[in-house]
Amino acid sequence: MPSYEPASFEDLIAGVFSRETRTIPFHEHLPAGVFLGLLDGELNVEEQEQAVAHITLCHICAQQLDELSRSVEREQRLLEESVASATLPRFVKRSDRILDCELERRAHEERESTLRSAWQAVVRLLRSSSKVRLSYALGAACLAVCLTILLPPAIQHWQRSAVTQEHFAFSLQPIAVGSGRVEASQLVELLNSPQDRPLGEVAALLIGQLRMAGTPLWERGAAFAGLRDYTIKRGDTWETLAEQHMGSRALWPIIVLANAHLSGGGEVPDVGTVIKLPSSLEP
Amino acid sequence: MKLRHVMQERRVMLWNRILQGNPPSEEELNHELLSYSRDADEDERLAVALLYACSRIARGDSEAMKRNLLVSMLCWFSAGPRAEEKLLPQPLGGEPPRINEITGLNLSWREASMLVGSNSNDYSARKRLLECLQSTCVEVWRGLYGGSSSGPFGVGLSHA
Repeated sequence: MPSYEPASFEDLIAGVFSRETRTIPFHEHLPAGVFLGLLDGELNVEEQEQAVAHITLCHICAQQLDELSRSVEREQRLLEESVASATLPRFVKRSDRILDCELERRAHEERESTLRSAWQAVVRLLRSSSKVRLSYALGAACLAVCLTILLPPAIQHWQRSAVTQEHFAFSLQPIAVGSGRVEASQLVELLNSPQDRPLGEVAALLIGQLRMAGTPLWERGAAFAGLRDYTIKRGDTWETLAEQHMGSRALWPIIVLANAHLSGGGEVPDVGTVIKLPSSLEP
Repeated sequence: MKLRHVMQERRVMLWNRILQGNPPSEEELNHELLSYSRDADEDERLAVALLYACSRIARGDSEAMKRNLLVSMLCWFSAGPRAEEKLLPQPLGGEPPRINEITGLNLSWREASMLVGSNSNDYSARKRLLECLQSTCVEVWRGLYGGSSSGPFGVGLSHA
């Protein structure tokens, strides 16, 4: 008779099945290669059957297989994650390159267009007999050149000092925020008659121009927070003013243009003159 | 390592083959187990005879009985101390589960049915399987170890 007294046939065979899977204190265990072969499906049928039978009865090997299996799964997951995260920057970098090329192309076109229009405006002004207008035209032409050539790289610093869109309430906000487009003719018009223009409009047109030159300001949320009064002191230059109030010497043409009605041929106004400066740029 | 343990390991291999749908033939079983079991104790003989009987049913013609056998084996092999971290194997479609994958899961008849790809609510199938298995076990026992009695498998033969 069996080692216990079963009450029924089912009890009897349940006991047999239970004993069949009772663990054995093996002295020898499966080598690591067998575990890996089992996980990778590289064992032949007989090797696999033997390994599985051993693992069924040896709790040490079962534990090792379990740990190895988890480890392989974890590594696989990490690998998949690293591949996924490596793909994204490559894609972003590539799309950035495409965008840069497109922006460069557009900027080039816009620069050409602006310079051509500015030149035409200057020629138009030169034909007039007014000396005042002549000197002003020359100054405006210089500014146009500065804006189209010098500003785009300099504005990168400005972009870092971003302010929120809500701070911007100029009449040409669509241009400033990028949903509108500044035409070259508008800039020429501005250069021709800055004294007739509200300062906000000047600033908006300027920002629009910067954007067209390849500097998408609002993509990083950068713009003037506003304009404020400043009284020229001894020793001030456009560069020092830009450095002190805008964070970069390279941004001086913005101040010049914002005060074009005062700056004449581009010189800093006399000490004591009140000019407009872009107010602090909030991060 | 004791011979008993070697033979237990061999039998687990053979049980797995039944679960995997590749039951060993009578000749294979004779070659692997017969001479050993004749000199073994009662528990070992019971295990060998049960393996012969299950293998015979698994090689039989009745698909329903084969399926019932698989379901029952999954239930019996999965009984035992609860395996907290184990997940239920995927239902059949890929490879059928092996013993080490189900131990401690304490599968119900319905869960085991789903694992072999059937959705049986026919709980009388279990009774039919038990009757078939018991008669086969008695037959096998007589064939392997002689005698005219039903041997240890005749226990509670009220429904036999």
